[in-house]
Amino acid sequence: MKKTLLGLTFATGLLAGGAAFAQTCTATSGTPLIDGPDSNTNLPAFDTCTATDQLAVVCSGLNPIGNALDAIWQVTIGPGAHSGSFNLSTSNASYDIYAGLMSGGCSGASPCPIEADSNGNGGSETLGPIDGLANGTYFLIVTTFGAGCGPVTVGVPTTPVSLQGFSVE
Amino acid sequence: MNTKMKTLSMAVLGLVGFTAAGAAMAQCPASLAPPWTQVLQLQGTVSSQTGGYDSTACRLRTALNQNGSPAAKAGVLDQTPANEQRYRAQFIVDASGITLTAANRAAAVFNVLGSSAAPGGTNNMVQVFLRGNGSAASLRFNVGDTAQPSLYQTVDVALPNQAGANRVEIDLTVAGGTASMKYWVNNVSTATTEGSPTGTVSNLNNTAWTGVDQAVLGLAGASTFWRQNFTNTNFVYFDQFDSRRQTFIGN
Repeated sequence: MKKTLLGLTFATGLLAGGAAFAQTCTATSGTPLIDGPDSNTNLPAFDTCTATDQLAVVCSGLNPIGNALDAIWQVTIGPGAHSGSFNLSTSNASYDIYAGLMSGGCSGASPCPIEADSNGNGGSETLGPIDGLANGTYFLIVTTFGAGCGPVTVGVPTTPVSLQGFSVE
Repeated sequence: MNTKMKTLSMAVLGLVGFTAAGAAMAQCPASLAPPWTQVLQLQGTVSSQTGGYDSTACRLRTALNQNGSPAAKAGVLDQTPANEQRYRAQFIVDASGITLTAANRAAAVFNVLGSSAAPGGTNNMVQVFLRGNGSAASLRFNVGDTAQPSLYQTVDVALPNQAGANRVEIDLTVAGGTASMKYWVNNVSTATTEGSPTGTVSNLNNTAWTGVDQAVLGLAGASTFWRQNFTNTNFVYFDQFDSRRQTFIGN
């Protein structure tokens, strides 16, 4: 394997250009931050019809989701051991869920280390496992290649719970 | 300046395995990342296989599951680029294992992402699609240009070698209205020279994308008819990915 990088001077000079027009996104209003305390729980159903269309493509710009509504949760994984998968389900029998976990920021260009789109209308999706993912901040997007929306329940995998307090009497 | 940004030849990967093992046969790596930043896989297969092109030992084998998701993909991601103002890249593609003539069968095989998105658009700065043109397999280059209502200039090139591997190279610059993308599409065995590209897409205004920041090689974004008709044994092969800032890669 050869992997040669040009000097830092070149790259650094270009980085100042910034990303003023980046197709970036933010967690959808009303979605909770998913982290350790949510481990192995089902979050209250979130109605993705209340979300907005933030991204036209997702996952390295490869998935053309167009004008679909994009419900986005911010997810903290680690530090510590984590395992299992997100389980996503909807009560809308005509809603065909697609889910992806974006890494490196919330953007249509962000790569997705895990994605799920195995079932059709009304079907649930299993997104994972998260076992091999690096600790850090991710963004869970639930959208569709169609035009639907509806209540979505997020089942959270095992994420480490931070030690809140410790004492020895 | 003769500087390589990245070389990810399947052959080099194979030779690394051969050298390390000291065995009589080259070994293709079980994992593609590293050297690639990430393997992108959903309802598809992507792996390194023996039997590369143009004297290489290994190649990238990709396919998508039949009747899979519009999100199905089988490829590899390179995040080495950093806001590049000039980006040269080369790869080999072999679509001879699939019958690709129908114009409604298409899939992206190479995606160049900018550091930012064009207003009203996406980060996709250059996308290369493998598709039928009605009678043969061809490549469609969608090249970012904010002067176009669609945000892209488009050019189609029939693969010169329908029965085997083809070498594809691009040379993309970034500027406001004066940028260009030269492209070379040749039989893998054909010698190429910098002064004789297959064609040039000129007068590009692509500063809205800022610069090249990522690249994806492999199958993604397949059309409905591709996903309905091709299976996970209808392989498309890739090899010898190389990207640089300045120097012609060639053959």
